[in-house]
Amino acid sequence: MNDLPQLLTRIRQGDKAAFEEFYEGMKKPLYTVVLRITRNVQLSEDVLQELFVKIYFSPPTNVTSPRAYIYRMAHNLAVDTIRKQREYVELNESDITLQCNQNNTLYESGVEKAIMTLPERERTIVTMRLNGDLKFREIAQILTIPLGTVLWSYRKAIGKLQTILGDTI
Amino acid sequence: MRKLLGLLVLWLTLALVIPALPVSANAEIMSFEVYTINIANHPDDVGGAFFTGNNLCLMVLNPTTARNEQLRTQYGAKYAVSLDQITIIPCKYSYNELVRTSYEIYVILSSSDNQPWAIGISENTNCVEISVAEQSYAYYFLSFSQQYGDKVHVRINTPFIAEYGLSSSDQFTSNTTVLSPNTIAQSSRDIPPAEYPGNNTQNYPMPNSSLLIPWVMGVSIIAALSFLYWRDARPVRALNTARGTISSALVLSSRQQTIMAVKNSVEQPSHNLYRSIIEDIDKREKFSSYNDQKP
Repeated sequence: MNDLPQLLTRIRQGDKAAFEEFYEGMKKPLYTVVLRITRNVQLSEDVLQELFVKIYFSPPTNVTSPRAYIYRMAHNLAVDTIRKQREYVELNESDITLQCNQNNTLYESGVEKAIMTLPERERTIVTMRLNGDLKFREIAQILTIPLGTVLWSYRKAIGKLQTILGDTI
Repeated sequence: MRKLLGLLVLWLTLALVIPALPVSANAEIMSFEVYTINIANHPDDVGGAFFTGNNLCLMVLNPTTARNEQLRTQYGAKYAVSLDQITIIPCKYSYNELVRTSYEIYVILSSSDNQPWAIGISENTNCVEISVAEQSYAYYFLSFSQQYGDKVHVRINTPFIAEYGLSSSDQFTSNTTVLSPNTIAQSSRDIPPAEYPGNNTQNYPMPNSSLLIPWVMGVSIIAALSFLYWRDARPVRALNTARGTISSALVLSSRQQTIMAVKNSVEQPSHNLYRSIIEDIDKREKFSSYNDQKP
């Protein structure tokens, strides 16, 4: 989506066609990022709905990198949602895994399985970089960690994935 | 990146290996210039010079009266002896010719014999002295006798080994310049180059360890780059695709393929999501307009 600022300007003017175009362009990478943070399909869709509604009513038009801003919003919403879920439902790791398997979406692919074995931060960095096409500098700003840590974690994660995927059979 | 690393490794390997090939092939053989650095400097018609008591014996090839006088004057001044203390003895071989022969034999022995051996020029017997191990004596005796005749004298090395540690002055009194790799290297280190003016100073041997540091550095760089290349491009047996299927047991995967697989593993939300979002937006807009209309 090269014309993202233009789309956001049109959304600000109440153009629903522009919003639909924006949704179609951003739904997959944003959903992938959110899903890999929450590891829950229903929660991820809730987060995504809240995110798109927020963007519809107040699109980020006056920011340096709207794309990075949107991912930051998605990341913060996902993390907040997880935190709230833990406060109220006391979900633990096995509950989340069970729910994911029932939905039969998350662990469908071998690559997803491999990605889910990564620690949360490495998983988020890899997803933002490869699925969200964000720059390392932008990821560092979103996660509020040093650029060097992002680079190191990314390289480490890719090495792990390569090993896991290579040893699958 | 991978291509660049590969090319860099290839270039470094060639740069290190190609110059080393001739060196390693003749690792034990020193050049003729280095070999002759500790050899006595005689004219071409002199077969050698040695002392018997206080008299200097000078071996001369085809001596003539005029040439004898000339050599007497030259060697008298050189060794600080009076002219009547110099005896001229006719000989068959020039000292320089013996040096060349000894170098030929040195090359043969360096490249073929693993047993202890030594080589030198005996100035009083006017021949090349070779000392070899007992088990290879017969072979060398036959082959060198056939090739060089009485110019070369082969013997078993038992009594000769003791001469390895001779100093340069001892060598002169024994009239045998012992030329083995060890003695030559030792003598070269002991004698400062200033005492050997001319081309000897230019050929002063460098210690072999001077090449060791760049060599080790080069090999280390190659190893590091090879590791990086391997880590970046190493193939693994198979790869799960984004669809969850194993593509093939024969398919090789690299770091790049892993990245591509992750890139392609994008998840998609349910089809109802957009409708839910639009409903939510409509609801909020209605609520907002209702609030605006409220008095």
